Amino acid sequence: MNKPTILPSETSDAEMLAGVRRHLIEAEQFVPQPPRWTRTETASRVRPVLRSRMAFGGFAPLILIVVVVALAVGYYGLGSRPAGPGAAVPTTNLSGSVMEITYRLAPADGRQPSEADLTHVASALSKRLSFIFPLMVDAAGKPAPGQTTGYEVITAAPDEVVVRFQADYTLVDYTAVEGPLVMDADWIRASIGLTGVIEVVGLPVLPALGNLVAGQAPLLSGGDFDGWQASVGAGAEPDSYGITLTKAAAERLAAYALANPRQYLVVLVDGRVFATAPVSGPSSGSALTLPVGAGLSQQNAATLGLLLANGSLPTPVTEVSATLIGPSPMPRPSGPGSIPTPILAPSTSPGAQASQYAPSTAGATAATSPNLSPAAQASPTAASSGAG
Amino acid sequence: MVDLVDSNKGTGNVLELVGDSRAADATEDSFEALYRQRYRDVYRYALLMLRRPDEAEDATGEAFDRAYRAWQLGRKPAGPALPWLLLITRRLVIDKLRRRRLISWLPIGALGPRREPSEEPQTGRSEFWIWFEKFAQELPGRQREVLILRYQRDLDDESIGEIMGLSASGVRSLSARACATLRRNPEIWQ
Repeated sequence: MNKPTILPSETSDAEMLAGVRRHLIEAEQFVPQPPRWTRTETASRVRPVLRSRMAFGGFAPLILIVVVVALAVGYYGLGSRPAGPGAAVPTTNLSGSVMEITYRLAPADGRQPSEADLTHVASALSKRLSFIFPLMVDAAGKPAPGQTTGYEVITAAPDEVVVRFQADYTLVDYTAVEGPLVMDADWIRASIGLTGVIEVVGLPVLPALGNLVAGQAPLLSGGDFDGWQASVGAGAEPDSYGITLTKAAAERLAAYALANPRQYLVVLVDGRVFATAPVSGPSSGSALTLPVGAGLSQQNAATLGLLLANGSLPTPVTEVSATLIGPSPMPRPSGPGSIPTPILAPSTSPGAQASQYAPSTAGATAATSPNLSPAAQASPTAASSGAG
Repeated sequence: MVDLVDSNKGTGNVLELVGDSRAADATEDSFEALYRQRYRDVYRYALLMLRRPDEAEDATGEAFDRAYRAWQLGRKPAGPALPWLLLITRRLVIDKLRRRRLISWLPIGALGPRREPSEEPQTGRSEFWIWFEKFAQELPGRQREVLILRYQRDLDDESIGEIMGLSASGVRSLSARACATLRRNPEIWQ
């Protein structure tokens, strides 16, 4: 007769859940007693949301005001401001540790950039920085006064734009509920100088992030993108970000996914691999969903959000210099040339910049994408295991 | 104009939205009881999902405001009220998470979860939130939410499914995956 085998004891689900419950109960100390119920008092704690109570007609006065202000600013304000050296958009008082980056506009069609080109690039860079900086808060969590504090953009004729921004703040992504994500001055440096041409291509093999992919006809490009949405925490598993698409683009993507079930969708920024996601099956939604993981870092997700929200630069720029001015609060050596390389540096070769957007006519991916990692080219299966 | 606030003429809890004052009083009485009974449950859920007391308070207030409007219009919950309230709250929580800007700025030295300055000295609070950060780091969003809801007054699978838009079997599947995750991370539950 066989003796019963004694297995090593394993913790039961109930025991584990009881442990979790024991911890969760500690949250009770932070749950207040209900305030006295009156709709007045309860609702006064609700920040009013205009959208929920106003029909489109209600926005008419607001739109009128915005138009009038925009016209006034255009006529009397920024529009009449000289765009030569020293013209700042906007002017701010920077203090403490400041990063100064000088960008040079790439010659377009063999001609030197005009003053208008300089102004357009300065405006675009300013727009990107204004997207980043309004939420700057101080140590007490109070928003910084003014919506344009923290940066300045100055044109320097004939072909340079100087960007200065407060470098002693660190970006913390709270939508990544799995923990704070640190993005700092280096992230800004790596992000704002990108031209920001976003394309999505389909590839049979998984390219390495950062590689240049040239000569691929894009499946999706500029006009196909409708926006950017984060799906983190409560609503998704795993956390993911989505590039929302126009209806026609979504249909094109669905057709592609149906016909190419084993391929990879690759998001290119300025021709370089920025995010990847395997085609997981037929697509029916209106967004290209990119799960956070091996195929998309949180930093790149933030950069994609920045670029999609603010558009591409009208003229590519190259970084001439980057200098950290003033005290460095971070464990980072200061001075020109000592700043770490950006996550994805903008192309420094105008020739390469131009050629990487040349439309593809034919050819296998391996041939047209010489920068695919050897491992990826040799073993698509092994490479794909790291995706998304 | 935004009219989230009803007129209050100094009588504390007199509402003037409903024509029939007796009906209004009856509604108010019963909804007030529900509010008193379930406020902490709703707040707790919002707090654990959003992890910001100010936003949790907003979400809770707005959830009861919406629930009250629905209640007045006769759209009361058919069954227990808690899943109904949590469903309203969940929509607000998701909305807040989506609206939350991708990025915010903190000075160097203030990295880490945002805390209210006045709450720092409370050691117990810090310990809980340190544990919760770890809990949130290891368990994906929906697995975490299932566990949070399960310990909201012992909601059953059907109620949790109603709140999360899942079937009961889907809830059980998520729970099983959460258990598997917990098994790999004993420091969370020990």
